[in-house]
Amino acid sequence: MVRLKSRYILFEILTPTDIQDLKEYDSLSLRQLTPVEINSRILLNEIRRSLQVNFGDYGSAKVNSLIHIKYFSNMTSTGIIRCLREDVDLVVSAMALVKNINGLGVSTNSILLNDIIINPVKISGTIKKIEQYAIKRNAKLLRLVQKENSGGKNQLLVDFSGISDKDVEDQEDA
Amino acid sequence: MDKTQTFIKDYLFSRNFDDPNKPFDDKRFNEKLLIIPTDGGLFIKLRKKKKQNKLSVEKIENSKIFHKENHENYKQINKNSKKSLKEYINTCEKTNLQIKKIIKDEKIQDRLELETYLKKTHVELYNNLPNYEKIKPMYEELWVNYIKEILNIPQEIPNIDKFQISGGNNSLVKLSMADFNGCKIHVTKSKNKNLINMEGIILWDAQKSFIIITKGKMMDEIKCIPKKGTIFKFEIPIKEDYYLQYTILGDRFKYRSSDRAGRKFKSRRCDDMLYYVQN
Amino acid sequence: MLVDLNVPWPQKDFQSEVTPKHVQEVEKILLTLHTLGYTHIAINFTVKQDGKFPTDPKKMNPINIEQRFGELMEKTGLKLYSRLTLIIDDPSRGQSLNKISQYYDILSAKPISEKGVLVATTHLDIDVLTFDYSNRLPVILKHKNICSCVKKGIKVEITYSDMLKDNNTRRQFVANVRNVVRSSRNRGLVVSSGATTPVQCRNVVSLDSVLKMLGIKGSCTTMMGDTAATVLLQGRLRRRSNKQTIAVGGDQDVVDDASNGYTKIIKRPLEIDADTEEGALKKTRL
Repeated sequence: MVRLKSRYILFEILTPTDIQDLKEYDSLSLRQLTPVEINSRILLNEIRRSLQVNFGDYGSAKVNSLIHIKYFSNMTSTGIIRCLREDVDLVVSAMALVKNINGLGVSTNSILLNDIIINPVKISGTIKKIEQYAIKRNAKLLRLVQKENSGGKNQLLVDFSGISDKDVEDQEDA
Repeated sequence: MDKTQTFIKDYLFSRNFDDPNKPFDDKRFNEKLLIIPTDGGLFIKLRKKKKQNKLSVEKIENSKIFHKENHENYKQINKNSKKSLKEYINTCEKTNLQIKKIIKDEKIQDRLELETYLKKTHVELYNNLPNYEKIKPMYEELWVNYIKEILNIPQEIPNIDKFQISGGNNSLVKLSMADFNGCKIHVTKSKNKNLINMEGIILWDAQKSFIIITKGKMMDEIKCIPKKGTIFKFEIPIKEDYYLQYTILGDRFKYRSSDRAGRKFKSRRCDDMLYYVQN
Repeated sequence: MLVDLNVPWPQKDFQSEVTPKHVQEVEKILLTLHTLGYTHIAINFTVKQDGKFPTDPKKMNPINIEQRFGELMEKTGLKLYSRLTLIIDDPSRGQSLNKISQYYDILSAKPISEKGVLVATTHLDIDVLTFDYSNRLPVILKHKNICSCVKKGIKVEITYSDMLKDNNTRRQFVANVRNVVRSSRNRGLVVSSGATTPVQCRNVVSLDSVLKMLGIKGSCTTMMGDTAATVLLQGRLRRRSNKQTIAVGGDQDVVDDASNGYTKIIKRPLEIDADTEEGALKKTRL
């Protein structure tokens, strides 16, 4: 059976230099929002650049036949990349060797986001399984954060949980 | 003395020297030299015999009489003891199997019930059953005192916070050479999941396994636990509620207790002990 | 369980001191590793073998894990160990390991000359063998030496932080790793970070792909998990047992147990046997 077999990689962006103090550390302190300037196009550019530098013309052209960022969210700093099955190792290694994210354009070599770890979490053959895994993982993280910050600091989370659909409708009418 | 002088002078010196008086003049002749007639070798023979009859440790070990008795008896005793131990273990295991069958058939649920039933019908089986309670005090008291002697633990300890074993590393060395027959042992980790949490008193410390007697719900059983792939723990009570804890790594303990006494252990690869670290 | 065996301790030798800023950097690295999923981490103190070793037992292990990182260990659930690496240049000038081996959990050697390689693979009683991956290897490694090392139980370590630095160091790193993998026949390899800044830590998944590209056959999880755990076990048993026969402690295994010393006293209420008459009496009295 001849079929195009691809792999989907779930990754997230961590910013390790944001840790200030041990007392404020919890599961979310490394997983911050990424700034609005960074979108999927810039990320893809960065990965292509890393491939060119580390694996040369051959490596970058090989992967370029099929590479896509299917999903990227600034709020959660997570994303899904699609690539061919034979090229998974190349793409993941290229992601591992990325240290910072640069802007678009040849002349402007501005660093948009410095000191970054791109962290691939799961590799799967179907996008459905990746989505399910991402949902489970988020639920787990949320539970962890709630446990760690029971009381005190994360009042925001607790407050938002009390909102019901009725309140939203009232706001829309008003 | 004059006699000797003249005798020597006339018969020896006259034939060796030109002037027989010369050694006397030069004072080379020891005046205390005595010449005694021999007795035809009698004296020497007597001395030899005296030496033979003297008693010494070597003689006792090498003498035929002692050797004969010691050898035969010792071998016989050793053989007998091995045989009897084997017999004991085999009969116990057989009785255990048979009793298990009986329990299933008659649907006995209690220990008391079992004992009364056995006393009535199968008296032999009842007599052959191993008894944990009988063995327990003998072994626990004997072995605990033996180990305390080895490690120099005093019988009474006033302050448990300040308690320390003298010569820390030495105590571990001594423990590795100690005899474990009679120790109460507990299996903590093992490659074979059925062995975990088995607990009992060691009856015999074989080369590659421990033969222990465990306390069961209905009857006390004899079990043979292989040393390979298992980790044991044992405790030494030093005060009422306080115990000293140690672990035995079975993989490195696979020697006869007599061989272990003089053995120099070496550290080896830990790749086979991965089950120890994993959950 | 994921183990990272090499987080460098910023002190240069026994005489110099550590600033609180440096300790904070190490804390940041540990927290980053915790977010990435590691469970057991060893902090590595690198010294030259030629230098003077202190005689005061308090100064032997300047890392002081319980004091500095006790809070971190409780909060995150990480388990920290201390490790000593000796840079072996000329073995005749070096000191013996006997005295100092009691104070560290894991011992390792980093030869930078041919004689050093010879001594480290045959004579020394160590757990891990490292190399400097940013410069040329001191000698062409032979199958005979390194495979006999691995048979004895010494593992060969690859520190991946060198691939994230310069372009030139990256080239040397790739060449050296290929050499090491070839000479050890893919056996007994351990992967660790050697991260000096928190940006240099990486995930298991990304390392898996990178190492596949470099020619290592075998999953990265076993290399970082099982093999590294055996290193921890070996190091711990050296300290707390008599040549791996009888060890101290019983309830927790030797790797998890953080206490030192040669005795372990536990308090436990006596077990009362309700089956015997005496036991039944005792229970009723209670």
